[in-house]
Amino acid sequence: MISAILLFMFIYRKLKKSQLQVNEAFFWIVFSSVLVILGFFPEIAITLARKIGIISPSNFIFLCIIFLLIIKVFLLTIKVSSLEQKVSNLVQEIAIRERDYAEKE
Amino acid sequence: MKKLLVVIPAYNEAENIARVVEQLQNEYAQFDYIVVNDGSIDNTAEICKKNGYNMIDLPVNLGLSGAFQTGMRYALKKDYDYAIQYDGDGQHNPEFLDPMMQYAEDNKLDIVIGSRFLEGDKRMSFRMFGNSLIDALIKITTGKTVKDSTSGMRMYDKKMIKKLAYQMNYGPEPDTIAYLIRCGAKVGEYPVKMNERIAGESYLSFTNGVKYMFHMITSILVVQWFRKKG
Repeated sequence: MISAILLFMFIYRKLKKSQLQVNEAFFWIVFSSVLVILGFFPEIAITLARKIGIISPSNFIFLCIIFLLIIKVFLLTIKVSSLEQKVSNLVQEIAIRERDYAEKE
Repeated sequence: MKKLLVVIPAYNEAENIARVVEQLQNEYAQFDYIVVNDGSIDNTAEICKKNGYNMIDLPVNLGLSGAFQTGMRYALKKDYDYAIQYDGDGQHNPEFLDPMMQYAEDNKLDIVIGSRFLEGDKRMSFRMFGNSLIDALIKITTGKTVKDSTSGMRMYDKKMIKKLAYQMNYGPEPDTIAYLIRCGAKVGEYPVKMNERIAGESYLSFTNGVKYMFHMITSILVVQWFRKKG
């Protein structure tokens, strides 16, 4: 519970300093809020786990978190790839234009 | 007369670039060339500027595929019919430029590979083994026989230039050749002779070679099936 609150505070502070885009921030706000809620009311996890048929509620939470993070990492990989591509295209475009510009002078 | 652009990606080729470009300028003036300086940390760029070579100077290092793609964009912009990938270290011989282009035109080919092994010896070495392995993979996955897929001397026609210029994952490597064959590109090989490197260091050390092989094998065998044909 304490660590969940600490995580939430950490994210809250970073967001305040606005080092994150709003749509990205949303994911982390929800994610850390859910952790805090689960920290205060572990009964939620226990009942949910039992409903699905998982004996240990902590296993249930781990499963959910790992699943969520895998998706997040994959989406990040896509994003990094596309960013790399964009940067490289920018570099190419700048260099070509610079050459054209030098030629005209 | 079709227009050919010789694309010379150069990373730290200060010792070689002048020799390579001078030879092209003096003996094969009918062909245009462009040096793409890939953010070299030696004085490759200064040498080109001083001698007035036709150069695109990349402000940061993009790697071979990024540098080569720059050349493709330039070729597209200036409306060239063919573009050839040409080493900046003097390994490639300009005498084969014209025959390769003729060969491409006569046979309506999209890609012509300057092949070292069409005729002549296949010496056994670690490098040769890698080449044969990649050739075999291309044969298995595409059904097309390519004798020297790792040759760095590849000529592309306009259709290919367009693809190479703007799309992701079209590095100038064998896996791209394999992919393009699967997309219906017509690939041919023309016998060429290459020189040993005179100065500077080859990029392909043993560890780099292994990395390269791993990358090529996974790309041709696995990743390719997940790519959209187009």
